[in-house]
Amino acid sequence: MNPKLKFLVVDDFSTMRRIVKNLLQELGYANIEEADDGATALPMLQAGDFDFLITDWNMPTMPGLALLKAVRADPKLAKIPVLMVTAEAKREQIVEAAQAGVSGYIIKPFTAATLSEKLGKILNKG
Amino acid sequence: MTAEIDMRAEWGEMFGALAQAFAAGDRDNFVEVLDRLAEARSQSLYKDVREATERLRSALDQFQLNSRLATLAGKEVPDAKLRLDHALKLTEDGAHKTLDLVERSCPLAEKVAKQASNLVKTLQSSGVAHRVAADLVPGIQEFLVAAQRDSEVVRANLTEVLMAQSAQDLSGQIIRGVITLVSEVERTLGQLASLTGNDPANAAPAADSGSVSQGFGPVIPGLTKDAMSEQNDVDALLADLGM
Repeated sequence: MNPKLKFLVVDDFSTMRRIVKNLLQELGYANIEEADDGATALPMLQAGDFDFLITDWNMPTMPGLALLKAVRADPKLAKIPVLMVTAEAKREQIVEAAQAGVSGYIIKPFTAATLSEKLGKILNKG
Repeated sequence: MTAEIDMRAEWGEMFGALAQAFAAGDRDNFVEVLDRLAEARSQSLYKDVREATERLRSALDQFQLNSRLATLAGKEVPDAKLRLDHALKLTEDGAHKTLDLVERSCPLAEKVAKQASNLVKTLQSSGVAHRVAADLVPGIQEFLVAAQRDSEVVRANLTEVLMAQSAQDLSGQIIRGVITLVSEVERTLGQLASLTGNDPANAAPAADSGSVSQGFGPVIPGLTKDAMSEQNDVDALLADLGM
């Protein structure tokens, strides 16, 4: 585990951003920034040196799926792991996220153990 | 043209009979046809009055319906939106307050656990215990071990509290969805209420219930179709897709 990894947590609900942030801190990661929509997250990703993106799906301006596609389409960002943490749970959506290149998919409500496990799985894959 | 045909169809036969009786100088027949004519004329008047009454009643009904719609659109729906906004704010405030407390408590529990752990180690190491009254040592050690264990439990509990607050995100998303729907209903009711006629072409369009790309919002048990109910299902599907 590398505690220096820089995370961007994107969710339009501030309570959920705080929860994910706290869980990441508990896992030993301290370098965490937040965005409340895909539209605000994308410029941050393009400007910053983020190592990991955790995003919600259903957001008002730019949904998480569009953010994922934008990230994968940008040569500078394409390789960033993207973990989706969302209440969206339709089969077709999970298939679509997988096809768009998502690295992991967690449905809400989730447990601390699930987040830790998925993070570990993605990071160990390198 | 139509009116002329109607007139001829309605009155032609009687008028002809009347003219014939008049020309023939047949008084009895003339009076008899004249009476028939007067009777028919009053029947037609009654019919017109009945129709006018019917129209008046339906106009009154329509007016009542419109004013009910106006109340719904102008007062009750905005009230419902305010109530939902307030419920959203209450759950959000509550969640943030709990999160504040968790964030303040976690480091304290962590500190107590760490200090207890250090003290246990120090006490256990030789050359320290004899400086403390011998009969106090077991009690202190017991306390320190318990403090260490308990504060770890407290920390774990606080993490559970933290996770329990994620319900606010889900309920908040559902409430937001209802607010959007209510706004749509409000808008279309407003349009309906402002109409004087009753044109079905102006009926409310169906509210947008989401899309794959924008998202559908949280799964509502018994309502959302083709949804994964557990993380395990998602993992299995992703494994099928080769992830």
